Amino acid sequence: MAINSSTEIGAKFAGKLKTASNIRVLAFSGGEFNTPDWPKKNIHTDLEFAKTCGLKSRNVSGTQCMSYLTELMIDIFGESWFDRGKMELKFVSMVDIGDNLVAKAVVTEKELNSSKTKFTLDIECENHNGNKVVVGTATSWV
Amino acid sequence: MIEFESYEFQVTPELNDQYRFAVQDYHPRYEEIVHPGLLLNYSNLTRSPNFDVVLKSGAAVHTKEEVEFIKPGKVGQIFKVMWTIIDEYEKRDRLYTVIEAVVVAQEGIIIRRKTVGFVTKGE
Repeated sequence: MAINSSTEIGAKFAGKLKTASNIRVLAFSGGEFNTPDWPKKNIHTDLEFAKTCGLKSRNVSGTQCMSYLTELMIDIFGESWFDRGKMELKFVSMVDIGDNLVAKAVVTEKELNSSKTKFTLDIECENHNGNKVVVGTATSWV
Repeated sequence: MIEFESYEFQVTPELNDQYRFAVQDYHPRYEEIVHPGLLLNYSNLTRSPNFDVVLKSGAAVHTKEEVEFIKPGKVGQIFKVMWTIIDEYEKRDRLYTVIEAVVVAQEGIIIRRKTVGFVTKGE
């Protein structure tokens, strides 16, 4: 799946199907396992807490969706992403517990210079209903 | 002005594995490198020990985020997260806050920098 200097504008990439199941949401947002108060109460882990915050239900953390996008970026750019990756994201819709999600990307810009090629990608995380829940851009170099 | 207290934590192999499980990402590189999802989550402002005191709120719902990956974190290291408010504004009767978060590894090297916009809930 890796990107390289010959990758063209319009090239599309997709990540693995992810399921934000209850136990995985608790693992992500509930604090460290094996601590006395696990899972810690917050809008992702506790319905009553979510309601006191004015929400109708618990939801999946935006950073959990960012993690899916980050995995796709590392699949595309390799481990150099850790040194020079950048994402700008908007969270456009709540993600429900149990949703299936896929990270997607398409190359929209490519800048060549003497030694490296800078790529800009439109990125999104889409749920099983085809709705975008996170949208944005990513940039890095190869 | 009250400031957010910084937060220090150590990434044990067990904690790293917890995040690999959470996001279904079992790539072997994460036996040594801290899973990026862990650092994204642990740099959320709600990790600050005085988050609820400063914002008088129980939760922060993300609206936007920019994150810059500068260096990978290594399993076993201690990390420190620091937050600074850089903007506050009202829109449609809601208070929005923008903060900068910096994650520093134990050698003092910045490994992540992010700007996060959020709306507070539960005031």
